[in-house]
Amino acid sequence: MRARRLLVAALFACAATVSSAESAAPLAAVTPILKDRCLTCHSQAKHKGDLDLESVVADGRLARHARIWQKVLEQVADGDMPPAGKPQSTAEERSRLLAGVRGALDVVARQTAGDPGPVVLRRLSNAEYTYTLRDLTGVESLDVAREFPADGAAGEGFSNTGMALAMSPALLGKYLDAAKAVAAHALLLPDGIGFSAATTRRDATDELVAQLRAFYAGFSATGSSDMVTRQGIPMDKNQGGRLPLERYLAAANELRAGGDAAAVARAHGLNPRYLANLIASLAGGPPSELLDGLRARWRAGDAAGLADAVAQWQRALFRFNSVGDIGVTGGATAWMEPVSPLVAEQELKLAFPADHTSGEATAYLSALATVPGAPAGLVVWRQPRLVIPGRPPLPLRVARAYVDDLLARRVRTFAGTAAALAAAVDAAGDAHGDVAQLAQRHHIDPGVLAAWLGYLGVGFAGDLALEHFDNRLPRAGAYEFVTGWGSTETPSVMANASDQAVRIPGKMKAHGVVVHPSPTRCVAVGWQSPVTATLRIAGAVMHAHPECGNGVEWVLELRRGSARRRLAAGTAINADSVPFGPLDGVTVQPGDLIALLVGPRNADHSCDLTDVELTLTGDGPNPVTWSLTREVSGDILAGNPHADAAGHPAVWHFYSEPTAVMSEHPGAPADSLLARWQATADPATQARLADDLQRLLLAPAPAGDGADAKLYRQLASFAGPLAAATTPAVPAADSPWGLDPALFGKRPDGAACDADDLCVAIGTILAVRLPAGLVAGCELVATAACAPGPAAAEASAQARLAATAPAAAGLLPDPTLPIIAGAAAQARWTSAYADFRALFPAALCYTKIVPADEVITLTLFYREDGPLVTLMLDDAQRVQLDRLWDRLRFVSQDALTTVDAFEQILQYATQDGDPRKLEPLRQPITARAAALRQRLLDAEPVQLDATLAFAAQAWRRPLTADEQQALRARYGTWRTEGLHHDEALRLVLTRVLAAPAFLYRAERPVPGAAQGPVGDWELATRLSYFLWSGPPDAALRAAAASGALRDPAALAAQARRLLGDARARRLAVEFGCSWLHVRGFDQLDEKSEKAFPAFLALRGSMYEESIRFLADLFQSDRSVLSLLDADHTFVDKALAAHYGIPWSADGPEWRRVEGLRALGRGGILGQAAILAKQSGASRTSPILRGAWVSETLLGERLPRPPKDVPPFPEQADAALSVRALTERHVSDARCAGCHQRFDAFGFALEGFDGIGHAQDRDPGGKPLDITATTADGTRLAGLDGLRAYLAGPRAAAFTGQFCRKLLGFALGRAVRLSDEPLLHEMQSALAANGWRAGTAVELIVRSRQFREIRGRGAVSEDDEP
Amino acid sequence: MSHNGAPMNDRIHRVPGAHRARGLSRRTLLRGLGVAMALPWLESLPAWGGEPAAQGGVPEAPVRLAVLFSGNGFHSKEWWAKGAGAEMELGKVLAPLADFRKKLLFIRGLYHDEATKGNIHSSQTGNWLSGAPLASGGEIRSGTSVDQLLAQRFGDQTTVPSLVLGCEKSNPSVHKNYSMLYSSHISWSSPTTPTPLEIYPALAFDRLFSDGAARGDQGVLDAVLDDAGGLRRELGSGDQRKFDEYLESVRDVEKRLAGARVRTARDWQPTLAKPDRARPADGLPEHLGEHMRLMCDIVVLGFQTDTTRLATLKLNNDHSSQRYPDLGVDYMIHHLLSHSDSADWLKVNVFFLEQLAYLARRLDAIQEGPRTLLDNSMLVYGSSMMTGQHNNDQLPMVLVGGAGGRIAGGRVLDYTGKPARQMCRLHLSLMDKMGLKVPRFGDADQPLAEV
Repeated sequence: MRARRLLVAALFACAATVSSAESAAPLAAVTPILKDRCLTCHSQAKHKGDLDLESVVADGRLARHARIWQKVLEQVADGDMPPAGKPQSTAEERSRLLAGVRGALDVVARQTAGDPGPVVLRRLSNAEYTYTLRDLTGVESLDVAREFPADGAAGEGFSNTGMALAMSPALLGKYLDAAKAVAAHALLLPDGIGFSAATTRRDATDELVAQLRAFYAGFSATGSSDMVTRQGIPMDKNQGGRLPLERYLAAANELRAGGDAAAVARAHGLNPRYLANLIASLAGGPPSELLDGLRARWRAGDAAGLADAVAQWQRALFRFNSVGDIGVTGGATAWMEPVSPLVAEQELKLAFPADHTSGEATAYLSALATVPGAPAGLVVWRQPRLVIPGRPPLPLRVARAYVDDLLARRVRTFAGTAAALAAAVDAAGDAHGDVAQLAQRHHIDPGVLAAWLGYLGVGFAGDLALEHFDNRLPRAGAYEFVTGWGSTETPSVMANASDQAVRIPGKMKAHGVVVHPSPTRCVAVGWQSPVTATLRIAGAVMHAHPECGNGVEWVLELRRGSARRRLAAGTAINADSVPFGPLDGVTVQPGDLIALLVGPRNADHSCDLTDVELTLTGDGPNPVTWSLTREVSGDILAGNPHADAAGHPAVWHFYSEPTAVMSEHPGAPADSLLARWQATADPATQARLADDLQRLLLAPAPAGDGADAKLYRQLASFAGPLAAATTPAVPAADSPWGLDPALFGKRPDGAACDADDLCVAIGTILAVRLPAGLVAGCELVATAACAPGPAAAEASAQARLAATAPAAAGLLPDPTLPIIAGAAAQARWTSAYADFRALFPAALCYTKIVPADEVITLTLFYREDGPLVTLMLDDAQRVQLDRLWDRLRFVSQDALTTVDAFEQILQYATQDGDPRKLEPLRQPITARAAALRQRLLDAEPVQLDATLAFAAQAWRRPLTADEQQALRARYGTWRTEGLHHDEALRLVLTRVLAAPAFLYRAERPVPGAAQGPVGDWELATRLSYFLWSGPPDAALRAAAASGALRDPAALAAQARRLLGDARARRLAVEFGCSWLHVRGFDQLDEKSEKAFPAFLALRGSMYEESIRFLADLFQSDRSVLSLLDADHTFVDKALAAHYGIPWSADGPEWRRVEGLRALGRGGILGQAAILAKQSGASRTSPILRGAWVSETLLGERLPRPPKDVPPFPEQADAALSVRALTERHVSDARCAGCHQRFDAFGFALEGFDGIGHAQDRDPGGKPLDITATTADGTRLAGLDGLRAYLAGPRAAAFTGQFCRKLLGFALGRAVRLSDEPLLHEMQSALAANGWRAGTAVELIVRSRQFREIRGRGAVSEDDEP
Repeated sequence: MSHNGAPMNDRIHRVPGAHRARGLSRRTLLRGLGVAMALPWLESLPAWGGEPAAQGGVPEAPVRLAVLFSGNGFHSKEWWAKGAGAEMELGKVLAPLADFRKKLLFIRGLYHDEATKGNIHSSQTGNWLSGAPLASGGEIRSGTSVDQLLAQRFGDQTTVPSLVLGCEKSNPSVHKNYSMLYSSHISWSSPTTPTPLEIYPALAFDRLFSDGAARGDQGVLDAVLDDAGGLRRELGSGDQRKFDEYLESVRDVEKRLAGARVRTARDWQPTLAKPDRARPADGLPEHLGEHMRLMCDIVVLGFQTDTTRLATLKLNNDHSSQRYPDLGVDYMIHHLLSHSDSADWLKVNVFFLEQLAYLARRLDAIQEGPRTLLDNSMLVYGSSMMTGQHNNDQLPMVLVGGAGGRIAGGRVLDYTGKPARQMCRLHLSLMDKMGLKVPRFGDADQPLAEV
């Protein structure tokens, strides 16, 4: 009995009391029919199907039993009652019965209309919780509910219904953890709090940097690059932030004839301020040497030439520095610095290629006017000269005579080759021979012989010209016992006199010797032999500072006279010692030098401190050993050169050489005739090779890269070993080489100038011809300047020294080609440059922000955006940019970290960075840190206030004074307990987000029994969670605060506003997709991978299509019927292919497409997500699709299927189509009754396979039959037929279902009888307003159900059993 | 009274024997039944049982209960058992239990009358462990399930009152006028509260073994509890009852964090003090079999360490959409496959029974004094319909384990055709074996004498 009583209780429906007399009247008329047809079974005694209708009728209170009556109505209308086999009612009886019950229920519905109903307290659903947090924090990636238990559904089938939203200790624990996780995303800002996708300072900083970069990217262009290499690491110091010149100049070109600059800027996405400024500057303005030329090009429409010229001038007028150097002593002052290519004089050089040996080489000395028609003037080329490696420079004035002489002498030298080599064999081993006698003996010129012997390193030692260090380093690396020779910078050599290993900061062994090269010079330690001996040589090179730098190169060589012989070479990079030797059998004569050279790799000398050791052991019975470290480390300052331990003076030499000597390999090229001559001891072979060599040298220069060709070039050039200095004779009058000496030493006007100088009129081009082989590897050097004179101040010219003749006169904006100018001209140009720079900055801003162009830098974030701010930003943008920077400084706390970094960098200062250079940074760093500390303190109360403001948003209402006080007190308690401000603040946030006011949408009932308006804030919350599944935004909060929402019209206006917002997409998901059973479709895992391999990749797109389609319904206020008959949808490329829609490559990823009906689709029935969801894993299911149309779209209730229905084979049978299979299955009489009500809908959709792909054949290959007949006798053919049916005769059922579901979603409960009048009203309003969805929404929010709440004292026994 | 050295929560003074002395406290009522309205289903206050008495002075391990469920019934021809003891014959579905024939009860013919009254699926499943009537029309109402009733009575004796696990997410829709919550939840902590399921092995593991209270947690909980007290007063009476879920949850978490849920005195020692395996990986395992076995492992850990004595494990939903590519059956989801009654359906059924066998085997390998942990447990497994054809006038049910010597296995119990064949009688039996005697549960007032 109890069970039955409860069941009845569960079926109670209405709250309000209705006059039973009134509502019972229509029912009384049909009581006899009830008695005859119903009460026999549904009696007190039998209560068939748990229904005692007899008592219900007797009770008479219709409202109490409304649900039972609704069910009676349904079952009789559907023909389910009376059941088959029992006496049936006549048609007339049936319609009277229905009318009677319906009439009675209508009365109840009218009486109770507008009842808010019992709405169970709602926890935020997982979806609402997630959206709410995203809206509150603005962090879209926040997904802390990911692993929450899935919510259920209740009411009209939605998970925003309180009954389905449970809480448990396990879930509460998750809420607590989630609240902490969100609090970890809080960003403490100078003016309050914000949220970030990051949870660490580092990531939050990166996020802010990204925001700044995005800001900059809105104005500037990427591009340009300027690589530097620091310690072997390539870095770009000049990237991004560019003025997008081409785009602005193109726009400027459009505006040549006038026009609206602002409109053009808008059209091209350009900055209007800058474009207007650009046009104004190009169209007019004061004359300028530089801009005038650009203006002319603009007027002429030469857009390409203009862009090119501006770009070239930008390169000439700006320089980019390494940001990492800014602020240190001697460092740059800014990233982008102005460069002035204006000089009073300039040294120019032209190198003659070393491998160009035949024919002639020409050098052009030109001095051209900068502006056509400029005042004439004079240019003087001072000291034009040939610089020959290893020789004194040769004035160009004497070049002609010298060349003539040398050409003649070279023939003589080469003709004596065989004799000289024979003499060399004679002289070998004879250290004291006499060259003159030897020359006489071999019939050869003594000068020629001396040159050959020197080159071959045979016989007589010549002078070793070493560049000894002469500067003492008495106290290196802060240690008394570390001393040495060389530059305080580099290069240098040092020795440790102590027993203690020290760091300076490279490692210095006890009694060790170290060297440190400079970028351009290597350091050498040489041992000059005091004896004749055959040596054993050994030693080691070790990189002494391996933590940084790119290591060193080293060479061990034997020098005798001008000859160098390489004994060993290598590199030392890491901490490993690189030993060399022992090398045995190295024969030396007194004066020979064994030298160990250490140079930088790739010109990078940072951290190149290098530990060296060199030992030499003589031969004989009592061999002597020399050791560098032993003999030198104790008293390196005793002298340079330094004596050995035995007292021989000048044995150890410390000197440096250009690094070039490291890369050259002196001596005869391997395998050349001369190398082979040197290698053999056989006199006959020697003689033959000597003859061959002589023939080679007397023949024309050989081409190519062969060993003998190289040998020829080595021997034949000015720089060659055989071209000894000579006193030139008077040149031949008809000599083609060089210049006439008469041109030197006088001005064109006849006045004298320096004897070696050339003075010419501006505009003069001088061509200097020289034999290519002779000058190979040499340089022509000269200094150009404006010559003094009356017009000197106004003169300006561009001087060039080039291998080709200059093109037509004209200014070349090349930073390597400065303008030499007089004082007045300089002033004019300076001003022109400044105008140009102001208008065309090469870069607008430093978009890298984080400099990575130095190995070590103290600058964490670098701001340089003056040109951007000045040229482009308006006030609001400036404020925004400043705020972003402020936040970056505040959040990153770089001012504090820099303090530590500064101390570390001082400790770490390397040889290439004197720590004293960093001193200027100390005071600013300290001051910035102190300022930030104070700011952090000052911001604490501001942040606490902001947290309270956040709480009000999270709780969706203002906080009471008590609540504010409690939150502050809680914060205070945590601080008292020793928590840091940051921790305490995050705990307050945690507490706010774990609070019931956040997790629940609590609503206070109105006092008394009657229903009344829900509170303003609660109403705002109802509205925003209905349409956005999220919290009210600022506008809605303002409306709530002002009480405006109490006006239904204002509420409706807010609803319209919310619907138009992007967040209304959530209504499409939470309501639309839930209703249509495709919510979460992107996670659907029900498809066979074998049958539908494409599905996994497509399901996300399928879901997105349905979401976009439904969102568009609300956002664009379309017809509800368009859900069925729309001709458009939204597709991406993958889905377009799935549907067979043509796709063009350009355009957005998602596109709205029309013409779906022509493709056999259109509306939700043709959407892949819908079709796939209502299918099996491997095939279609007409039953699922049909039942879905019936139940979900039309709101029909299908009865329980019979027990023991026959099994249904699931894999499509080869012999039967899915349809035939289905028809056979439901042919069972027990099934047919129901199936005929819906299977037809499914059959009509058989034209789409299990994932919504159009098909014209069954998977078994059989043709499809997509026609069917509905229960009401309508013939359907395919999707078109079904659509016409649903949107035609069944339109009312469909729109009615839409309204019912939408109302249930809005109210968070099942629809009740008391809602029927509203549903009718919605239907009428929709019909009158073109079925626009917004109409339905508006009527709902205006309804009393939506705006009101039941009274605290409302009788609720029937609602909550 | 020993508290294992852990501090007592000074806010909640526990008096030994208070339950017995005072009957139901308000707190117990809330925790146990959710709302007073549930009383019709539990008409009178039960006479509480105590811990299982130690026999002969030898401390004995307590009885543990694990209930496993899978939806959509079993193969129509292969769910059967005949004979007794080691000679018992088993249908193919039950074949994985062959090793446990002496320790199992095969129970035929039981049913829930209320589950036959609604539509299909959800309305057949939502009361599987309570026998209560189910609300339709988008409402949610069932009855407190047998595991939760036990948890509410005995939960204080273990760190975690009960584990509620699942291997398939719940389904958020309303099907045939009944919420699919009913299809997804066999455990109900109150008639209106389906106990939220844990489907992530790592989080289930944390639920058992993660005790670390972070600094400030206590303050947060104190504060929200204050909020809750204030808010509750402002709510309507219906909402107050719903809101009590929150209030009780906060208190529960607070006790757990404060270390206050120290078991009552225990005169036996579990064989494991700490978990002997690592926390499972985050997220869901790639393979379903692995997922199910991990969940079983967690149940074993919970029982073996005596962290909990009660567990439900929903292997899948009624109306499930699981597929079984690992079994070579991926062309149909579980629900639709159940309609086919095919060889593949049988294969899937066997796969489920293998999970039960796995759990039984693991428990049987743990010796607790004279018996194994399986002997001290009851593993109940079944479905809410006999076959995929929605027939639920008798339900498939099998019980493995000895309930600490209180159940003699190796038997087939057949209630077919008998008048008193309410499934709730089995539930009364389960409670009885656990030491909880109630006069009535669901539609039954007598346990099954044969069990």
